[in-house]
Amino acid sequence: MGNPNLLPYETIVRVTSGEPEAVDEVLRHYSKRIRIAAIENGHIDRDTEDSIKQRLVAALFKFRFDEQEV
Amino acid sequence: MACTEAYKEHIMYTFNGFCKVVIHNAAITAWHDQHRRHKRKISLEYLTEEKFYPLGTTEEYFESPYEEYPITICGQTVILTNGELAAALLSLPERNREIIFLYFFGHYTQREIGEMYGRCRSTTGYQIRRTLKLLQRKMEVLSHGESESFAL
Repeated sequence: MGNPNLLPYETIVRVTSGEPEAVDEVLRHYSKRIRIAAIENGHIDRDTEDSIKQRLVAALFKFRFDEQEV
Repeated sequence: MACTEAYKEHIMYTFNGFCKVVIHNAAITAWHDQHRRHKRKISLEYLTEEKFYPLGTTEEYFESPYEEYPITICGQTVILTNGELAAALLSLPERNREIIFLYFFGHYTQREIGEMYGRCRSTTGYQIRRTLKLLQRKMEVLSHGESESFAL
């Protein structure tokens, strides 16, 4: 497992089973990326950040191991 | 499928990509939503300057919420807000109007009113009931637009 920037496999399993701590971990892991995505006119838009987080959490439960469709 | 290291790594990469795509799409959606909201928004200054919508209600609304119908009975003026009631009251004979006024507006007792007109209490009570019935019928006529004559 060379890439340290990836979430460990166990966390992913816990996330898909709906564990709140694991979901939190995912949000923390991608917080920087989310904040960058929420930048508007040079500053972070709180509403956008929240809505992205909301959508990410909702999407996490749709992640399928075998054949995943986004 | 066995949980080999390669499989786990594959899942990790897939999950990472999945999350990235979700975040990217969510950001775009949020952007679109905001853009749409911005387009619908009208600035308050614009509205107040153009006087499309008044920011408050006018004072007239508070001054006279209803139409007023002043009626003078027994030398006193009563302001009614119900036009039908006012018209019906005015169409009553003087005596009945005064009794109604004294009983309901002046808060006199039936005995006191009776003494004023030289009648006993029960007669006054009967007159009040009869006048009320007459008032009701007159108001019904007024609201239905029918024209019938009633004897007192």
